[in-house]
Amino acid sequence: MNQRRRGTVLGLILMIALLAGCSRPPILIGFAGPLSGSDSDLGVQGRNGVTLAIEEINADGGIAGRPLKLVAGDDFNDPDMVAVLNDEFVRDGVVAVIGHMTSDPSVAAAALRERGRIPYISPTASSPSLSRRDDFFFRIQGPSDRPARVLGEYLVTQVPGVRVAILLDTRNSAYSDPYARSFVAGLGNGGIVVFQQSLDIAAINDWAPIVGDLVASDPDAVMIVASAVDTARFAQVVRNAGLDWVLAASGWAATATVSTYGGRAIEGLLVARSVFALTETEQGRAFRDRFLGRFGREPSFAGARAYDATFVLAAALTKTGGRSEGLRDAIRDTGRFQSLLGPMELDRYGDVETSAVVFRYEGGTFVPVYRWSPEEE
Amino acid sequence: MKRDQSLTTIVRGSLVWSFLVPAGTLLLLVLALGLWRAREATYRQQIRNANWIQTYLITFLDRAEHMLDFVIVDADGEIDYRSIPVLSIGTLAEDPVFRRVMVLDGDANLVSSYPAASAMIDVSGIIGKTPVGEGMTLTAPYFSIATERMVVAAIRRGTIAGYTVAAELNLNTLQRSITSDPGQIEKATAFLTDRWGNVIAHPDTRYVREQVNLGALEPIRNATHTQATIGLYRVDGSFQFVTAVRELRSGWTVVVTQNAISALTPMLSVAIPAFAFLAAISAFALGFFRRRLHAIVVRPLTRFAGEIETLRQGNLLTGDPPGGTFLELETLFRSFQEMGETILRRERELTSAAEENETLLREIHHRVKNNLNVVASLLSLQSAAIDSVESARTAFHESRSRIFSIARVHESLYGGENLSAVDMGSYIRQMMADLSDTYGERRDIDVRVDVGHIEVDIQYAVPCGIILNELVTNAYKHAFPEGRHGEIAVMFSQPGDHSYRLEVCDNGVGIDRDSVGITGLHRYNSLGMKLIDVLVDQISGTLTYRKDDGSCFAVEWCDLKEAPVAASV
Repeated sequence: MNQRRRGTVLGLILMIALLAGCSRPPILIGFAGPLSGSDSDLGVQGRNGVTLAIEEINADGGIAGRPLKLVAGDDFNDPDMVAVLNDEFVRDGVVAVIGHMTSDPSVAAAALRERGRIPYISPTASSPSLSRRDDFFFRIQGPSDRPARVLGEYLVTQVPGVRVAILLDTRNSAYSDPYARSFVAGLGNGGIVVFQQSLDIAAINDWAPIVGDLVASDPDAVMIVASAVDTARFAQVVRNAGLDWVLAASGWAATATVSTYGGRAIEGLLVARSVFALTETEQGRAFRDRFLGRFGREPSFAGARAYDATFVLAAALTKTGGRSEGLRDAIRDTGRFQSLLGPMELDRYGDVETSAVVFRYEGGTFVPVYRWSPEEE
Repeated sequence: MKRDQSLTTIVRGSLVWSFLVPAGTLLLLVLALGLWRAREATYRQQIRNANWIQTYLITFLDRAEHMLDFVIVDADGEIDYRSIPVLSIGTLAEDPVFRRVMVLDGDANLVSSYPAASAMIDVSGIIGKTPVGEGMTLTAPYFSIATERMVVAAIRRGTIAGYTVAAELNLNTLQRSITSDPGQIEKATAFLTDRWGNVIAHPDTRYVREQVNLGALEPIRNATHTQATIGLYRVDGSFQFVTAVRELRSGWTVVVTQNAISALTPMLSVAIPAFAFLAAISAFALGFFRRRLHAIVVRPLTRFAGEIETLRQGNLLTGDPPGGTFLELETLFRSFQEMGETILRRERELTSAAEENETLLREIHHRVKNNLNVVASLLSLQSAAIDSVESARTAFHESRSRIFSIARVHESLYGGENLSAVDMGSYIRQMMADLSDTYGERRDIDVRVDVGHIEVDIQYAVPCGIILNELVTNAYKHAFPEGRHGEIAVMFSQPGDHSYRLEVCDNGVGIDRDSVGITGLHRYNSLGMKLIDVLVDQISGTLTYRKDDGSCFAVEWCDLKEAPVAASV
């Protein structure tokens, strides 16, 4: 075989290899959140947000010439599932995980110090207990204590001397307990807590005893820290009983799901969360249209945050050339970035400081009624 | 072609390019054609299947609508919707099409439900957001708190009393019906999505439970109710044939996926053995051809190359040419064989010639030595006769003439073809011309030479030349005194095969008989005659003198080297 023929053969082999290599090995991105059951609204929205972001990144050429691929895992909103999922992610070769979506699993994930060392970026976990920790856990959701406090402050302005009853879901106590404390702090001296109970709200089949206890405490308002579905169920029970309490809920419930299951029962519901409405920015509106066109559903803040988190991760991966080595530092060095709702900044602990907005559900939609921004302090 | 490649490599490479590559390409084309046909067959079957499933879906939805209509028509305007007995909707709910049936008032509050559900009273968030038309309307998939699963509700609104009947479809029944389709393709998966790819029904309940979205798959995204969309995609880590068709009323997409390997297995089960068979035949043919080529061409040529190497080392090609091979190689072998023999023969000749030359060179050196000895002896003899300047001049003159006669012999030798023998004809004629020039003042003396082409060995030629020189010089000097006119005749002949005769005669005054002697010339008291006497002895010859009209000297000798032994005895 002469030189030319050998060159031809090598060229053919190379071409075949290149053709085969057109599908360069993808960079695996994990997603962890509640994908099934009554808590699935956050998880499904988050997964769809990540999916949309990955599709857009891949359409733009991927990272370092490699496409991103999503590996989604259902954590059932159960902290015990975190380690199991993490092991699966490590085994699959996932470089980073977008998740978890709720605080209890997020706290468990942040505690995974020696199990693969995969960076996590949570789109929505907002427990204050995750703040200021130099670990592998990052989040682009501000801590929930600020919105909780703002909600308390707002409630006092609406109902001076308000008597508040509080129900907390123990399935996400890393979120609900600090939330309640901050809410109470927001009430200050302008209101009092007349009832507080922590329980597994999703497991409640008979609300009568609880409603009875609530009635006995004679509250003006009831604050429930639970998922959207459970908050909706509670609102239905309250309205069906003819009770006209002011209802307040945490950001956990501030999704479209609460209106789906709450119907008219959630009219007047107050929630506070750390993001504005998507429709307030051009990027947010464009994202809403793309998300709706892609999944046929309105995006919630969970979908938007997951979308943002994926781009934060993609920017870090671009710095590392798609490799996991140095990815944690690259995420930590993100600094200021553009989110769908405007500029945000990731501090050196992987936390963000965001605004707090109080919404009231009126006429089938959440309407912002009060805003607080970090500049006010 | 690289020059350092062996014939085996060249043959192998040529076979690969001229046989294996075309054959392999052809086989791959055949395989590709087979795969393409199998893919087309799979698509056709999947489209048939998807259309059948679509038909079933339509039937399922028709049944659901019909049953909802039954309740509506049965009750509408005749009884208050609030009095619709639970039994009635319970009977409806027993139908496998439904999982749960609800009656709602005009504000979408739950009035009646079977199975009973107390958890949800106000369903406006679900039902109220779904625009309800004249016929049956389907909601988007949602998580049912009552049944704790993802469901789709079918809604039918009454026209008179304003109530609405909503029923959660039993998607499991639908899915089971789809997957139990007798027309199913083997190992295919059929499922339903909404128009955005959100899975509604799937044999793997995880897809439904986790609200998996498969809208990224192009056939699902682009499905229409008029034409099925198809494609090959990587799904869950494996390549799948995906076929999708959209049902018009629900907007749902019927999707059929099939593992590509499974789909192609029937074809592959035929194609792979056929391919293997053809490949085996090709390999066998290639091997056979290569073996034959090796036996017929490569091996003989390799052996021939080895033989050539032997030839290069100076050995002859022996034996027969490489057997069982082609004529050209045999011819080539014979040619090389003969070439080797020729070269060897010429080598022997050259060796012989070289040896002869070496001997001759030795002989020449020997003769040069002898001749120089002769010259030395001549000079020695001549010196004894010098007693005056004039005699010295004469002695030098004579010596020069004698030495010149020797030189002429050597001149004849290197001017002739034979280095060991002298052509006496040309030698004598040349010498006589020289002597005529030397004695040019004696033009009154004629010289006659009678000699043919006779070759005499150098051993005899030199003495003969000196003798001739002496006899002719004597004749010039003494036979014709006082300007007497006369003739000198020189004859050289070969009386026998190996005997020679030199005769120098003149018609001059002649020599005194006494001074010559009876038996020889040694009594003649002159250096010349003494020299002649010595040289005749040297060649073992005889000198005779005859006095007729003048003097006539004859020297005869026999070449002892050439003469037969008997003759020399």
